[in-house]
Amino acid sequence: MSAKSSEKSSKAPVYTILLGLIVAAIFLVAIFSYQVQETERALVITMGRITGECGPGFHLRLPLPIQEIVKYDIRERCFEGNTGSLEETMTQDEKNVIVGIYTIYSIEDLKQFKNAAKNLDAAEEYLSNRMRTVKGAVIGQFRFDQMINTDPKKMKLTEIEKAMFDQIAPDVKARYGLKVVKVGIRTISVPTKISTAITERMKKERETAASIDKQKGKVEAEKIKTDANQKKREEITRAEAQAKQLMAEGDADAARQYAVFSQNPELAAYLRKLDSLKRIVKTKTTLVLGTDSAPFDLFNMKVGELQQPAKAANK
Amino acid sequence: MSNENNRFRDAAGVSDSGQFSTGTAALMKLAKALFYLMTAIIVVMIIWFITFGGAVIVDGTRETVLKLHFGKYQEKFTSGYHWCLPYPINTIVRVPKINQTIRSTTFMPANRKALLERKKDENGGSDSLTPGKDGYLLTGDNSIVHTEWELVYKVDKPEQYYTHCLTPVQPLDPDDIVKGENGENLGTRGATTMIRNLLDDSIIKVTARWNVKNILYDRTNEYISEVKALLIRQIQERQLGISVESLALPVKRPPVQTIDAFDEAASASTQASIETETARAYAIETANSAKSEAAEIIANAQSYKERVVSEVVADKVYFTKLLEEYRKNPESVLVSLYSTTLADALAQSKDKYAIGINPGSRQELRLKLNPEPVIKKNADTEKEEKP
Repeated sequence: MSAKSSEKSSKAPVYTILLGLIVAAIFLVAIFSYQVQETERALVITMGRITGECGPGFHLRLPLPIQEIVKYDIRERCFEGNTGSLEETMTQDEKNVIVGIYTIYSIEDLKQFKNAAKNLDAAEEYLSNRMRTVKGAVIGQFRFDQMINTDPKKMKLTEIEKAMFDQIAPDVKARYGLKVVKVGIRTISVPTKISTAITERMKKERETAASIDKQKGKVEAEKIKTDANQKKREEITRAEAQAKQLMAEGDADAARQYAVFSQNPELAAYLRKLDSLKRIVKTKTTLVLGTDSAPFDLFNMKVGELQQPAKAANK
Repeated sequence: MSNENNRFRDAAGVSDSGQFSTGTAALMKLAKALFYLMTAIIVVMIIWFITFGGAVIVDGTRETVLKLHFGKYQEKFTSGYHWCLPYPINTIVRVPKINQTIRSTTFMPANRKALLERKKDENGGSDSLTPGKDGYLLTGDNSIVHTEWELVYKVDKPEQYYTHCLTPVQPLDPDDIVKGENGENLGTRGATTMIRNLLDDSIIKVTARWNVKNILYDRTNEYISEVKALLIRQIQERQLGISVESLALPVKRPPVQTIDAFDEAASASTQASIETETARAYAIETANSAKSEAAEIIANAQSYKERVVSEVVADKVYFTKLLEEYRKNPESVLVSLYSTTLADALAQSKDKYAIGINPGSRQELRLKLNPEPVIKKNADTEKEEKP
């Protein structure tokens, strides 16, 4: 019994020590190391002084209060400005516009940022003020028709953005270590009075356009119809000319055949007369003939005779 | 056991009394139990750490997983089961792979519903557009237009997306809300916000050089394509690691005050088109009719030509044959021809009068020209008879 107890008492400290070592190791690693994410950069501050800057990975450090590690997310972020986004700005040609801008920036110079800004909000406050000031200054250098224009050559929106970028980026970098990579325009609007006037003008324009379209449609339709009729007339005229030519050819061909009638012109004329008679006398014709005309001369003949008395006398 | 009790008693400097020994023994038991419990927890944690804690299951259809080793990007898992030591050694970041949609209503009025239903605000609301409240776009011809856009994109380079663009801690989460000093909502911050701003920027730049009619009616698709091209260029410049799947313009309207005028103009334009199309149809019909009439005229002429010639040829043959007979017996031929012709003519004629001729007598024949039809005359007579 006592031997078993002594074996147990000798094993217990081994586990205890192992466990203690594991726990101690974890605590030591936690206290003497840090890691920086891929999206971050870290400033090493030793006894209140910036002594280094670290990229992503595992790093050793001295514990607080000797060394402090401050990490910053260095990815690009979009900032729309806190104030002044609805302020009216005057263009070079004295037209009021309301322009909203945004910036895309990242924290580049950690040391500068740490020294100048209490926190990100303070830096953004400054950035917002710069955006507000620069926007007014830059817009004032351009005319309204350089902001909106159907002619792309006259459009200067890209130039406006670049001018704002050129004024904001170096200043913000020098002051807070922020790297502005883009300044863009997110809204362009006009004061209420002007927008109301624009909508009124649009209404009038549409009404005029409607009237013009109606007239235009009618005129165009009329023109198409006239052209079609003209073409039809031309086509018919051409066809009639061709038809006349064909008929003349037919008549000429027919005339060539008439030579045969010269063998006995009287008979030919007689046959023509008969033919004409057939054609002329139709159903509604009223014929009045004397009994001396054949075949009514039969009425004058005596039964049993072949010749009429008058005719016979004439003969 | 008694040795241990003695050791505690010595250490505590207390006398060996029954009261203390019982308490000390209970405390010892509790300490031991806590020690074993802690050991068990640590063992369980270690087991979990090296088994389930490092398991990474990637749904390849929805996400890509980035593995950061001590914070440094090491590799990406696109699908299946993977194992790696868990945090703090490795960090797992899940980046969405599925299509994501951003609906930009920046350029829509506050009363979106009224605009969509194409009617003026009936709740007494102002018809004018208030800056900051009502969104709209200014077009190149100095007009106003409202648009609502739908952008569908997906992350095609997850490591670039995660490292270049500020996302929430887990990129699958919605953008962080930025609060002001007084707790007011100043907007959002994150990848979606940045992409939406780039989209709005592209829309403004393109719209500023287009006229309103082309945007709304004539060249809408071209307009959308131009916005899309500019947006893609801006996204590539920013190296956001995303690709634009589609860009749609589900809503495009003039200001609500002008909708009636636009409708009327559109209707007039349609009416004009209808009139023009009707005229075109008439032109086609007329052209076909002209062709057909011309063809008929030519065909008739051709037929006349053939008929005249063939008739003359027939007459020629007839004459030649008849001449032969005439030469043989002229009187019979003439009488026969005359009688046949007269018979045919008389058979067709309506009224025939044979007047006896008395040579030397004074006969007078009166015929009424254009006599009234018998039927009409009879009808008139019947009318007179009826009272």
